[in-house]
Amino acid sequence: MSLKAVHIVLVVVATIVIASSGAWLMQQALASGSAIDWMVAISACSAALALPVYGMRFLNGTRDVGYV
Amino acid sequence: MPTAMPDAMIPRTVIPYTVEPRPDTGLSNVKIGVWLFLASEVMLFGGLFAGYIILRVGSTDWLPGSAFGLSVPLAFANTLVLTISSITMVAAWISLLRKRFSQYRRYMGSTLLCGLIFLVLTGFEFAGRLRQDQYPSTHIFLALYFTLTALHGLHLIAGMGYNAYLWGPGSRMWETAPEQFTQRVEASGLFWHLVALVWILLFPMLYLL
Repeated sequence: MSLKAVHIVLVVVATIVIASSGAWLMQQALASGSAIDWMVAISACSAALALPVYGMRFLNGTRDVGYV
Repeated sequence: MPTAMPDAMIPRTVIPYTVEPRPDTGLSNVKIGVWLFLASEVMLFGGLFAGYIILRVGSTDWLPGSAFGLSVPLAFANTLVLTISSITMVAAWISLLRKRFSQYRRYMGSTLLCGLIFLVLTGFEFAGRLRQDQYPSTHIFLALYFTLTALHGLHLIAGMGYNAYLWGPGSRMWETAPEQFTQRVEASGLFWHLVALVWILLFPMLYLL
């Protein structure tokens, strides 16, 4: 398994964890109303949206690199 | 009195399959070696994760991280920093595959910088705990927190040390054996990704759940 394959696994796991954390943090922000909580929640949701986009671009840009 | 053998007469043993894949496994020696090492690391962290679950389920007075004032924004920033460092690490490896050495240096330098930022933020977190007299002996959660984060931090420091070598003096190998050097960077990248993955799992375990 090459670094490319492991990187894709990392992007998928990070997307799942950050998206779930984003939902949890959003709940916390709604409950507390704190500006820092909102900032962290919005950052998590943005990262969860940006990671799959990056992953697709990475896959398209490394078609010539193997998975083994 | 025996005399030293002239250097030219010493038989040289070339280890096969350093760069080329072995015919029996389809993988090079380096890749098999690094994956065996990563398997041992997975067992190490797997045992600790299992210990976390058993201690948490069995504890009668379990307290979450928020009870000890752990900073979720700081830990989330660390998660982002390590994710970005994985992106720059893989970009450094791909730069070498594309024969762009100066680009490799930039990406590897960025990976090192991200590692340093992570360590500084973790240092703030540790200092905060110690200032509030929170030690591993204070509570079972803190024992797990310090064990897992400190072991992870040690792995990060080891990865940074090797990456710094590949960024600095070790990068001279690019001139003499570029394929071997690229493979070393890939092996280091695999380890770095394991370190990032462990943190991505530690973040919800210690800070959110």
